[in-house]
Amino acid sequence: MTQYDRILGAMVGAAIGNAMGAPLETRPPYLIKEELGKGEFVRDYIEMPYDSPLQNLPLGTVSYDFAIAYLSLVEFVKAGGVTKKAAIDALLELKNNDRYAIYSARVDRASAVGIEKLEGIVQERTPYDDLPVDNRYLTNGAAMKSWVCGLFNPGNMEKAIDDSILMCRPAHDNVIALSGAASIAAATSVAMTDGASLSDVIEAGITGARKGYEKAMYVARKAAGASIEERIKLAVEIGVKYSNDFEKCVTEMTDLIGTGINANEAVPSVFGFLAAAGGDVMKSIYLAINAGNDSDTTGTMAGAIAGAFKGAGSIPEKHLPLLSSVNNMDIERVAREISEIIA
Amino acid sequence: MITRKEKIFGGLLGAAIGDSMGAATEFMTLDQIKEWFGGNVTTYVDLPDHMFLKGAVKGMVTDDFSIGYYTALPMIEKKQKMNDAVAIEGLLNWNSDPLYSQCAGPTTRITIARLRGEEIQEKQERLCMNQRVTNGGGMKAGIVGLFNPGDVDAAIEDALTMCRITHDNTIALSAGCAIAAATAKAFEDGVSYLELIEAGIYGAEKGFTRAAELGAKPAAGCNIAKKIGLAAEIGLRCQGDFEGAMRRIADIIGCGLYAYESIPAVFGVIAACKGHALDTIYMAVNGGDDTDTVACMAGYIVGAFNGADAFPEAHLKLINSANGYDLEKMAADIDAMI
Repeated sequence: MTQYDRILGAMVGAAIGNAMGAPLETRPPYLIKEELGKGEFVRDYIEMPYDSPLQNLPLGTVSYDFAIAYLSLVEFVKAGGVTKKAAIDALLELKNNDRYAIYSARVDRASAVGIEKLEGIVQERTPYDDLPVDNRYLTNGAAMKSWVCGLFNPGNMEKAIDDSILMCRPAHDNVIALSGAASIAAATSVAMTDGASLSDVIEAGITGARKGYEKAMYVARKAAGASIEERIKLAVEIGVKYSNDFEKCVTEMTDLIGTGINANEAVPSVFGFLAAAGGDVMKSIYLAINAGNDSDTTGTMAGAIAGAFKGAGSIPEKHLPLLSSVNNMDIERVAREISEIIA
Repeated sequence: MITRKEKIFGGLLGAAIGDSMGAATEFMTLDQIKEWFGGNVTTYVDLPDHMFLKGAVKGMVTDDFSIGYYTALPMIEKKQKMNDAVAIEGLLNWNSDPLYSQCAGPTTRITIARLRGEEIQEKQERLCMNQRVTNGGGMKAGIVGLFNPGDVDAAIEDALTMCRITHDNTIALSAGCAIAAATAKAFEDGVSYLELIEAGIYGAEKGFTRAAELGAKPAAGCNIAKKIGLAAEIGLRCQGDFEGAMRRIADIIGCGLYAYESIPAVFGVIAACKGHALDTIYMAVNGGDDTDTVACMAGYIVGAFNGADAFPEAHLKLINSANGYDLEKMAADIDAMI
């Protein structure tokens, strides 16, 4: 398989997971099945539910998760690789270009605060600023975009981890958020290589979580929270155990690991879904989105890693043209440009 | 045999000790606590300068215990079992004390503003408000266990009444019911710590079902009953290895603000410490993150389980004097009215 196929697979997989997951976001699995899927789990693009602030969007519309990753890729292509400046440019472009208003309205709080700091907007001091630790921002906003670092570093896990910290620190300067980012970047990097097995990809995720945490401890704000490394091991155990039972797999994962906005829920669960799905792109995405809660983010991460692992050829053909046109994104061109840079 | 009054007294004292000791270690990681204090904290220490609970002295409790205490006051005064009116009265009286209102959690703050008729600027409500699946229900639910000694089902109903006012979602309520149920169970003669854990799982399951029946909002998040089971499994396997148990619980279960972390963590530490009064509290105090809340909840359960005599005399003196409490009298009052 060519690297272009893997890059395109990661991008399309991430976009599918994001767009299919967005309407399912915030709900638990039983409500997704009963209410949104009319008795079945959801395996396609559906309308936003009545309680979403986003209405009347065409099916296949992505949200902040894929948008920030895509814009980061565009900036990294211009820069010829992952740089801090390009990462910041992408954050600011998404916030300030009206074209992206539907995404920036839904930005997570950690990113919003991080972006305001970059713009020099003075933050009101809160008592939390005096603590030697900040447990409010250990969110998954770093991990949801860090897979792009894997695309620029196929097979070079160490560099993928370093790049993910470089890319994500401006908005998520927090050891647990960065541990999650490094985990997803490392797994994507290994998934980009010929001959890598699913267990290699998962082990890279575990190693990335550990190394990312260790490296971030030197530079980032500390945080108390559950260990991504340890939770990935438990999530994979659950995924393997229930690989033949879709409903049990999503329920156990959300019941024991969680799939919420904290990086130490969403990131571990993704490895559980990849394990249960054998790395299959669509199956990984279906598991991730139907587990609910932060569905669009788990869907994005699962789609990205599985897409790099199995390549664009394993994804049904209808998705690329649909996602490209609905979101006005030239996914193929960007994938081509990345493949030329890393060649 | 430990008398009912001694058990009520033990529950109050255990919760106050846990909250007070944990106030110094709150937010930090397990390793930061050791570094900051030169080892595990097993006594009352000055709050580090970074803590924002201003005006606090050694032995002072925070929002966690004080909310239960303030809720018990109108119940005792009016000889009234838990209902909406006393729960709201307790909540508002509690919030009038600036010492505690400064540390009110995010979900509680919103309710108080609403009860006081203040305008709340909030984004559009979604069906599931998952950021409100916090531990503020669980942290105060132990008190209703003390008002319902041995009656697990009544404790669950009272926990629902009390906690729905601030935390009206299925998961936070399930968590509150787990703590209330285990505290009530601790009054049964000859009960072991294993049955406290089983009562917690029963309370979580029944609490979830009843919360949904009563119309609490649905939410996405972990399952309290299943996660208590996992936490207990970790605790049981690591018995005799204090540091190992504490670290595994912090790493896998988590001890954070979400109800589905800190409430299961309570049962993990009880399992690891076999329900021993002080060891359980010490483990909760040193596990990091939301330590005062985990230790307060665990303190209700193991305090009632072991009775007040399990705590050396010095604890009571300090807690009473630092907070202006007479916990023994409160225990006698609760005992007299039930």
